[in-house]
Amino acid sequence: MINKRIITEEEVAWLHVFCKKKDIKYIDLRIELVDHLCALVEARWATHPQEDFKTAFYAVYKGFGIFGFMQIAEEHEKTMNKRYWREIWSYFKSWITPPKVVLTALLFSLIYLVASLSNDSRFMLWIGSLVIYIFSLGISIWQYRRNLKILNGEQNLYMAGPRTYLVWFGYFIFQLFFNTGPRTRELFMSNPWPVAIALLLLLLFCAANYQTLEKAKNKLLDLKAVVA
Amino acid sequence: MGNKKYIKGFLEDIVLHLINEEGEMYGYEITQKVRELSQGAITITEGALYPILHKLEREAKLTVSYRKIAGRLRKYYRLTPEGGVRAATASIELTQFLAGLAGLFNLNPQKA
Repeated sequence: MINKRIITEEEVAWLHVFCKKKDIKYIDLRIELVDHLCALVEARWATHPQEDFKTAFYAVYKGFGIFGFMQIAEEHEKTMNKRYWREIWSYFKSWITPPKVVLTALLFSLIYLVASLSNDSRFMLWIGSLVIYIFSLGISIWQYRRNLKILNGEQNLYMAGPRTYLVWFGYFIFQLFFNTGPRTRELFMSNPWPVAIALLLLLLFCAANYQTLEKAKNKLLDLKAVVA
Repeated sequence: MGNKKYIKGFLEDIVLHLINEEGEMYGYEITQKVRELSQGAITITEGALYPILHKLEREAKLTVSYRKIAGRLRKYYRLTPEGGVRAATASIELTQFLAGLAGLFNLNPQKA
């Protein structure tokens, strides 16, 4: 009986590096593609047993066409994006429970109070926004760097995306200050309500984002544990 | 074989049906099963299969789990209850559609 030739762990590692170079940077998708490529190479060895690993690999990789993994990567990105927002939304929904609603109301009142304390509410709004925004961005960057370290540089799409959303959020808020008409701006500046709501949403988003990324990190750690 | 235009519309249902039959499957296994059951008449490329699997996963029709097989991780897909409902509906719809096609193209053995 002829033993079925299977891919070695070194060859699996080589495939991971290859896929990374082909811009499959998210580990969850890479795991799936690497397994598929391994199965294809092993199937090829059944009919071409004399071929070395790389010859067999490049022969099966041709089957992916000129776009290679591009279409697969794009669809995966859509899936992960949707799942990310679903998680964030479910976190927001989980806030609609009595203790959390009270806590939110208290937080909101506090932000509103601080924002309306000064005669120059504009100054307070600027300082408040800036402090909360920098704090949120700082936490997000710190968490991203820490997770990369824990996961040896591996990430999934969750970990790569949220800082972009935060930057866009900041851009949107500062556009409100700068690029609205004089009347709207004046109304916006003299009234702390919209800013208090925006800041509260930002804080909630950051809390949701933090939790979601922690979950994603733990999932990847579980994956790593299976690999080890 | 120039069957790509026919397969495109059925791909989602084919995948759901196979996973429903097998309980759980991984990507490569699906491509092989399709080839085997259709006796080579239908082939699914990776470029078509994985986007469909990820779409079904996104729509919560499939759920996934990982297992270590032969020194590497493998991702398995299973139907969610929602996916099960869709697979059952698709099966009924396809049967009716194929019966309609058979009538149109005089493929029905009784009439032949």
